[in-house]
Amino acid sequence: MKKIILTILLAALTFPTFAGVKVIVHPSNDSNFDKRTIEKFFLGKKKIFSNGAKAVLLTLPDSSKTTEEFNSSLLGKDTKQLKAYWSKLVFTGKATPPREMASEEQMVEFISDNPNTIGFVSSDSPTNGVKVIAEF
Amino acid sequence: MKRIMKAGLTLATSFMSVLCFSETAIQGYGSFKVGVGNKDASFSRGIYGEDWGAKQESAFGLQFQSDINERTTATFQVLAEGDEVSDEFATEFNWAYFDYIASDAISVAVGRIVLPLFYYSDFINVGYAYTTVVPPRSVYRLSIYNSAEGVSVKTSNFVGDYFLTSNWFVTRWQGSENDYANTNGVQVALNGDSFSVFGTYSYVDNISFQIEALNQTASSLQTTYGLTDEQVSDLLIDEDYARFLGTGFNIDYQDIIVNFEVSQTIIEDSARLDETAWYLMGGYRIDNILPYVMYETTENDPDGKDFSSWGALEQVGQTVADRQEVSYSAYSLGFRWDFSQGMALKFQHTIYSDIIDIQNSFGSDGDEETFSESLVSIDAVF
Repeated sequence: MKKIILTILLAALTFPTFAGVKVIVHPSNDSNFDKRTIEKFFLGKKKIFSNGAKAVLLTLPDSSKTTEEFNSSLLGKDTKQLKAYWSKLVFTGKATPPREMASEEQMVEFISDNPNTIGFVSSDSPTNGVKVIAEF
Repeated sequence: MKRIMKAGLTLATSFMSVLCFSETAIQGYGSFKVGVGNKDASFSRGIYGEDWGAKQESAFGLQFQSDINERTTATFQVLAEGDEVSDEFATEFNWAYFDYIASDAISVAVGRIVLPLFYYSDFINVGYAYTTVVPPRSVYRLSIYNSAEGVSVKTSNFVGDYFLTSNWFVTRWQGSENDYANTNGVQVALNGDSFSVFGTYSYVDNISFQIEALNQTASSLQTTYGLTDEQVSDLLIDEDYARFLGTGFNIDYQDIIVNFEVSQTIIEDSARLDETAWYLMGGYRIDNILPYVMYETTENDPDGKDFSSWGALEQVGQTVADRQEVSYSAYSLGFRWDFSQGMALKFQHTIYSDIIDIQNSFGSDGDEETFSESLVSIDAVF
């Protein structure tokens, strides 16, 4: 039995798996979303939902695995590249950078209370009170 | 260091009340730069002397952005910059404006806005946003006038997968001595996933700019040769027409970075020579370290000036214009190291050669000078 547990542990360490990312909005948000549209929002190239409301972007701490996965999978940039990218936009007000949430629980809670927000959590995170618009 | 802390403290306490607004987004940046030259030189593009110097190019800023309503934001940025003359950090409003987002395609900004003349214009004080220690001095010589009062209309559209933006602006910059009356223009940029190309055209209806050495020369020639007031005006930058052209491209593909930019400045009816400057920078990202090389050059065109209307004194006018020449080329080698989240350490060594800077008595045709400079910076965003 010890050998089996050890093998499982080693396998888990050797091949770390990641659950993936869910992009979430308020349940009342009936805008159209596809992967490219979400990417435009999080690169500051789009600011208004198709329902006419101004989008408020939310993110998780830079140290979060979910942030890392979101940045690399969807935006094609690592965290430091993205920070330099946003620093080119922010200081002339070309775009407002994502507001940082302390945890995935806070992200879900904040979005469920604020209709114009868009954010992301890991795929295994509970998403009660919000709408999942994409998962990858 | 005390002065930096003092500057930071002044900024913090001055705007403590703003910090109380929970919906106000606050972003900050800081660039602390030091440098040393291989000699004390009068070269107009050499900032540092034989002893290590700091502050001249250091800058610390805080930006406050608040939603007035769903479509309108108020933004202002306070900048503390090193002042070479007073040896203090001078604090000023870098820009402050209202921005109305009409749609995803159009927004309008009114107030003290950025002049989008260069690729770096939007983030010129934010060292963390670019690769080199300082923006290339050849092209960025004019960047001291980076903001002005006025209106800008920005458009953005997708053309297929490409993001097409334009920024139309009407501004005026007015100081106690210098005046850029009506600086108007447009910058258009096309952005792909890993590249961008842009072009800028702008003009100033009435530019007045005091250059002490030129003023003294004109005054002295008026006495010696009896120049008319009109001829003196042909030499000085006083209510003249100026135009600026700029274009370039930027590539950030996988680990390769290439930046190219060229600009041309023409001030009509003055002794100031037409100037063309460009740079090409290439870098390769190796994990957190980005080594780079850069070549840059500035050239003047004495043939662009015409003093034939001066008759017998034509050569006098042309000689004054020729004395305005500032030309050189420079190679830089450097690296950027992203050593911590939101922080970068940069080093750059630049060798300037073939320097002709006649007005500052540093190099002339046939007797060109050389100069080298080492620069170090720590840049952060927070």
